[in-house]
This record gives sequence, structure tokens and C-alpha cells, in this order.
Amino acid sequence: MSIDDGVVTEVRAVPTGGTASFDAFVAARSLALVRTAYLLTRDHALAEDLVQTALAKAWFHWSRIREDNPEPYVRRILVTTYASWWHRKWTGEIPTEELPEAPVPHREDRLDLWDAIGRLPRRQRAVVVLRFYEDLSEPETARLMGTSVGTVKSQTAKALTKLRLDPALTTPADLETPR
Amino acid sequence: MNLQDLRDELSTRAADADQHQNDLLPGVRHKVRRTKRRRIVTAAGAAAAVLAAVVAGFLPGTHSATPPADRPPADYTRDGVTVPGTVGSDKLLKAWIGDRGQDKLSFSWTPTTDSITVHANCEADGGLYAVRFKINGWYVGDAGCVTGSDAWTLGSSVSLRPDSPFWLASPIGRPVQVVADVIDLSTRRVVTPHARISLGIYSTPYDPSAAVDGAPARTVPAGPDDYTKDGVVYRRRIGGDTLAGAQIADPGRSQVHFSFTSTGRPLVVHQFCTANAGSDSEERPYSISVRVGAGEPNISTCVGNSTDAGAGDSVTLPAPVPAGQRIDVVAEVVPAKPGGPPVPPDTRFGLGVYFQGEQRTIDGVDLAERIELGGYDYRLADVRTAPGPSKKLTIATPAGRPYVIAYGSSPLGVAGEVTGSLWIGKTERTLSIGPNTTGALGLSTYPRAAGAADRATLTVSNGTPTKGTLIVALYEPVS
Repeated sequence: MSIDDGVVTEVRAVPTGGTASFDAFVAARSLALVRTAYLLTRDHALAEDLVQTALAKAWFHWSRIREDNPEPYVRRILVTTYASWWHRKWTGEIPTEELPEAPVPHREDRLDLWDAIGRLPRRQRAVVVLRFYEDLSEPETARLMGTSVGTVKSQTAKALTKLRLDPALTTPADLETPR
Repeated sequence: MNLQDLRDELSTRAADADQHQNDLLPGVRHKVRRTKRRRIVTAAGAAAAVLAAVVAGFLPGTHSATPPADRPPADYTRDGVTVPGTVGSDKLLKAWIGDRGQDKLSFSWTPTTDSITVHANCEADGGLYAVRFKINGWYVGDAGCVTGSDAWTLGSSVSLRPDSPFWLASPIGRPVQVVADVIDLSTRRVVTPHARISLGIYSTPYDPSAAVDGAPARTVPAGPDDYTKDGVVYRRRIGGDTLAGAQIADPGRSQVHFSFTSTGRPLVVHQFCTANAGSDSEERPYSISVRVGAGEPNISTCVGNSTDAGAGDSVTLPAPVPAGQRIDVVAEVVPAKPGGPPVPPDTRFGLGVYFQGEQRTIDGVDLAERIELGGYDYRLADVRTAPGPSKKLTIATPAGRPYVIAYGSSPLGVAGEVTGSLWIGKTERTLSIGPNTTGALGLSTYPRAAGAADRATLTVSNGTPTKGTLIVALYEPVS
């Protein structure tokens, strides 16, 4: 299944220099973006597709965003594309192959936690990844997700509660209060 | 578990991605080219889009606008909120901007094209909200509420394509009722967060050639031998499979019954069912029960995504009787749970049964001699196998014509996780199978566009096979 929705606006020509800087950005930052995308999607192929979609959307705005640090912009596209992903079957895309099953962890002792993270609702999982993998602050997370700080706080609390109460986690934990 | 456990887990998992590092730039360029191609198609169809804008229905009060007919659709602005005239290649047909606090809207609209996209946004504080759309009770999808100047770029959209079963009951030119509610994404319940909704209904250029990445694609025209009723088609042949029998129930009926003579071949069953179309829950309220010959019925979730009803998911069953004997088929829509709601009266339901085409069996894995992908037929041209413990298998790919690679394995004797990776040039596809299975990678297909000659390599990147067979097959176009 492709996740490319082709929803872009203001298609403009990107100057040659812009193309070079875009290519350089892709080369330099792809791996970091794929790491985040993999935590969100839990599938290597879909993670790459998500990153490619975000980069393709960013390309059409590159002449405007390349002057600043474009990474926050690309990350915002990535997260919002991911957040709107689960209802994508209505966009009528035609699957090109059987989706691979979700990867499972290498280590048995990590299985439950990884699975529990996978059971979080999509946006709560995004908040967890941004707060505890990317180490973003609440305001930074809110900006990236296009929502309020209060929402980030509440979603973080809900996510951690769900993780703590997940029946697959055999060792109930006392979670710290998030920063 | 504490927060450090969580951080450690996320870091460890993120590092897993490093093992699958690819050059993403070719894929990005492909997506950019595809988007540009959609723009070109749109330009060619601009006159049609403008005409559609002229005759589009209108919305209540002064909140709505129909773009002028003599120029490309302009942005629609009200009280500082703007619905863009174009979003990518989509052209605005109808715009609506509600009042703050108007958390629900309902209006009548008349479609003038069968390829539409709804782009929407809402301003709401204090939660994770989306706008949920239903048209004539049909759940079209959600559009997330995103703040900021780039909300229309980043926000989600929902589309109806020409082959959507939606158009069977709501054809072009007939007014439909559009309902948009604000919902909490966490609970999917309608809420009243004092939001402000803005939305646009857009015409979307339909380009079937953009549907399958890289490889050619098309909408297959109906043939004289196809089974067609009320806009739903079961084609006479799909790949190597041949239609044995099909029936589309009359509108409002939820059962079909037909029979045919067995050839002894396995049977491939394709359903067409719209009973779940009004549901936005992940737990679908309706299933279908299919009884082929004697024995217990097969139960599966009611699904109907395309009026090309034989092209979607299928279930393969062994022939219940020897060749020459009659096979009775009875199928009906049923509630997924005992005591569930009755089947909606506007349900469309049908079933098609195909004789499975010739297969080549390798260590228990069936490879079809002929398959259909993207509306085109491909024939099995080459198969390579290797013992599972060798962990690697390569096949040459042709130059100058599209092709399909099928790849997978029989049970590899791996008790834990097993992961297979298919590499073609710098492109990778992965297959992962969890623990407590037979360790079989199954069989997946990967269509590829025409290009230079290359090699496709399947490797077992995780797990240690002790037995079984790795399989890579090449399918070439049927001329």
C-alpha cells in the first residue's frame, strides 16, 4: 500500500540550486527521519514510504523553506501525514502488494513494551515518540503536531496510563511524571 | 517499566531502521513526478472542472460560494478564513465556512463528477479533533483539524473515486445530503468543542496510471462475457482465474444463491458488500456468510471497495466436489455479532466464484501461471529457488519492459521472527513474520516499471532457516 496522497499546493519551479540543496537534505537527514517514521509505523517499508511522501510534499515548498531550517517543516508533514493515515482507504488507492506483517522485536524481554506501544492510538503514539524519543518539549511537540500544549499534556498522560495498564506488560510499573 | 525503559525501547527500535537504510531520493522523485503528472491532467480537464463548478449545487445562506465559471476557481474567504481554490491538482467545486461554535453542518449538494475530494479543516482548542464526513449516510472519511497557515497542505483529505460503490446509490446529478461532524479522534465520538469548520469539495483528476507505483495500470473495460448488473461487474477472467458463477442481489436484498458445475479446480471467492459503508468503527458491524457446497459456511467481514468486484481480496477454497458435479453457493450478509443491528436496507451485495487458474507448486507454495496487476496480465516467466538455510536467492530482471517479482518462501523452520528482504537495485521490500508461526514468508508481489536490466535478490535478514525453500519468480507482460 502506498501512502502517497499527492496533496500538495502551490506547485512552483524549484531553482537548480534548490534541487541540489534538497538532494543534500535528503541524503543528510533521511536516516533520522526514517527512524522516527519507523517508530510511528512499525514497518520498514511503510516508514520509508511515509518519509518519501513527506519529502515529496516538502519539495514543492522548498524554495520557501530552504532558507530556514527545513527539518521542522518536513517533520511536521511527516507527523500530520501519519496522523491522518488510518482512514486512507477512502482515498481509493489500490494496494500493490500484500502488506508485510508488522515487524516484531528481536528480544523477547522487549516484546511486550513494543507491542504495547503499537497498541496506542495513532496520535498518542506520535506524542510518545516525539516526547520520549525525539526528546521534544511539550511546546515543540505541540507545534509539530499542530495542536495545543494542553492537548500534548493530556495525550501524553493518557498514553502513559495506557502503557502502564496494558495487560501485556507483565511488570506493572510506577511511571515517572513526565517533564 | 519506567520512562527510561520507554526511552531505551524507542532508541533500540529506532536503531533497527538503520539496518534497512536505502536511498530514498529515487522514490521521492517518483512521487514528485506523479504529482506533476496529475497537474497536467488537471490542466487538460480544466474546462470540465469549471463546468462542474457552474452546475454544482449550493449551500445554505451566505456561508457558501460557487466559483465563477469563466476562470480557475478562486479562493473562498469569509471572516478571515480561506478555503483554497486549488489544493494540488484538485479544483474547488463548493466551499463552506461555518460560524464558530457550529460543530455540525448538514447540507444538500449535487455531484457533477464521480471523482471528488473533500478537503477540510477546523479550528478547535483543547483536544485532538477531526471533521467526519458522511454523504447520504456513507462514511467517506475524516479530515484532521490542523492549525497554522499550512493547514490545507498538511491536513488530510478524503476522496471518492469513479469505481466507488458510493455512486451506485448516489449517481451524478442527484442531490445528496452531506453531514460533517466534529469528532474526538481518541473516542471517535461526536463532540462540541466550539469549533469552526471550513471545507471544500473539489474535483479530482482521475488518473488510473498513477495507481500502481511505477508499473503500468489501467481501468479494465467491461467485456461482453462479463457478469454485469446494476453497475457492478464480475469480469469473465481475472489473471488466470475464470468466472464460474456470480450473482448481484437486487438492491435491498442481502442474499444470493446460484450454482455451477465443478471442474475440479479450487474456487476463488470474491464478495461485494456495502453494508458496512455507514460505519466508521474499526469493528465492522456486518459480516458475510458463504457456503460453497456442503459443510460449514465461511464467515468474513463485509467489504466492497470497488464496482470491479472481482479485483479485490478473495478467499480460495478447495473444490468441494469432483469435476462434473453441481456446486450450490449460498451467501448472505449477517450481523457480525449475535443480536447485532439488522442489515441496512440500502445494502448492495453480490458474490462471484472463479475457477482458480493453473498453478506451479513449489514446496507447497502455489505460484499462479498468470496474474493480473494494475489491470494488466502477466505470465510466469522464470522461477528460482534455493534451500532456506542458504538465506539468499537472486533472479535477473528484464530491460525495457515492466515486470512483476513474486517472492517468499515455504516454512523455514524458524521458531522466532523471520524477516526477508527483496532488493532490486537500491530499492528494498521487507517481509516479516512473527514468532510462533511456521516461519513461512508466504508470497508477495512487487510490480516494477520498465527500466534497465537488474537483479532482484531475496535475503533472509533476520532468523536462521533450518529447512524450506526460498522462492523468487519473474512475471512478464502478456503481449
